[in-house]
Amino acid sequence: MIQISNVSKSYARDAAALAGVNLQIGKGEFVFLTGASGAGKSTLLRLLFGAEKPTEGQILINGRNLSRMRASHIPELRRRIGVVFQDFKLLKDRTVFENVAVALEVLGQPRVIVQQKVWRVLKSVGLAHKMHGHPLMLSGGEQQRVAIARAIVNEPDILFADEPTGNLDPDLTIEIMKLLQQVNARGTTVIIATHDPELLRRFNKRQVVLDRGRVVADL
Amino acid sequence: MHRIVYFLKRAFRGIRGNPTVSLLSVITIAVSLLTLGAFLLLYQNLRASAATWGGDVQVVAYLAEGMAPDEVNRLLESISGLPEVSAVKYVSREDALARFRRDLGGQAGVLEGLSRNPLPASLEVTLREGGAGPTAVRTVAGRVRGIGGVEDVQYGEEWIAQYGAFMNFLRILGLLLGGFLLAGSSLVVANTIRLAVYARREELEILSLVGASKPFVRIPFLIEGVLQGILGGALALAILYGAYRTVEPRLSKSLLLAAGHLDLAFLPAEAVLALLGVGAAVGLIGSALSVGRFGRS
Repeated sequence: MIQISNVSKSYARDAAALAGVNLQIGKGEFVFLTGASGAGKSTLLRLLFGAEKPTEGQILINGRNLSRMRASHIPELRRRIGVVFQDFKLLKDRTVFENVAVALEVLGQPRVIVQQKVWRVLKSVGLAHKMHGHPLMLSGGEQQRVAIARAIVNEPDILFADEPTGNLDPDLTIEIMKLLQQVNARGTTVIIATHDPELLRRFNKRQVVLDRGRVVADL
Repeated sequence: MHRIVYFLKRAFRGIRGNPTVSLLSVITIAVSLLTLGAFLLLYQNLRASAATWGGDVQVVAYLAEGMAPDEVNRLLESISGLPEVSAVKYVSREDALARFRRDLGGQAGVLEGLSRNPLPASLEVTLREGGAGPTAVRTVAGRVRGIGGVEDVQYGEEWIAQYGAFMNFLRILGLLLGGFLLAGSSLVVANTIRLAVYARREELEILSLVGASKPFVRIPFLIEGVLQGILGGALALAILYGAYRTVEPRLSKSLLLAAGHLDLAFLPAEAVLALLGVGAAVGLIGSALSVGRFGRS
């Protein structure tokens, strides 16, 4: 599903953020990308969802080569991918419903379908009753659940999460991780970047360890 | 259809979210269009007034000496037949001298020394009202000159040339001034939209993250620009109309215009639509300028 071969990424004058990364991730896997801050986890994720292009090497997702993909084809790719961030990236002036609906509106789906799907996904993350509330009225864990709802409402093939629990206390962290496991159980490939050793210990999943832009372990 | 509604909603949300900045660009567009509109109004009324004055502008054709009466009649007929001409009056040499004597009044004595009448016979041509702009006068004069037996034609050439030059000057000044102002307001709109883009960069980031295409992200900003342009145009027209209604009765009563039987008129519907269209175009160009930049970043 995801093939990364010999991928490097360097920014002008800085040392390479990624150097010769090789990685294969199969359909339905649950993978942690881990390593210290600055190891290249976020950079690798950014390459995977098409925010940047690798300086060298190839990235194939479902057989499509991101390294050669034209900018106009990136939106198409993103519609098959969900992304979740540490800081949630919710629109504070919109309701919970509207925040999730955005992902369907860009596809031009009819209003009735949007309403059904948003309601269903909010129910699955346990927030249907807060549909009309605003993000700032929610706890951090609830906000991240809204962000996850937005990422999965399209039933994506892959879900990327960059430090999704970085802003949350331990109880909420477990709650969010369980939710991500449920998403994975429904068939979505889940890739999480984290530097939280507690998380890695608690959830015994595949770990790809990065150090200074290189893969140093694949456990 | 629901997509258009969605885009409009997002555009209105953008204007609501940034009312001060939006108002600034509406006002800037309005000021530019107001200048352009004022010139248009002035230009149009002056042109209309020239047409009215055309009724008094006569083309005088001086005839060759010793023309037979039937020859004069033929000339009269052929000039009357011109489409722009409403009347032709024959002034014989004797009539001309009598008129000259009357004009001289107390000094008519100077004419006593003349052994013969020096004045030529002439045809005074009055042009049809309305269809008699400077160009029409010139055309008629040219045609009359071409007719056999006509020795010379006078039609206030200098006045018409000056008038034409003035109108050209006004047209160029209006276009230049309007053009510069419009270019300037495009830049202001560009900045306004850029501020709006900046204020909403989070939303744009999220939109692109969930797979929105570039047009999908941009169209609402373009609509926002067009709306600002149309609002600016409407504001300019409202101000211009208000000013026109205030000034018009005073001007109409003034001697100058009363003497010319001049009817002032506001801009015709096409000009009103054109101004709104120019406003929309300025808004569109301005927002395209800044949204294009967003696309690159």
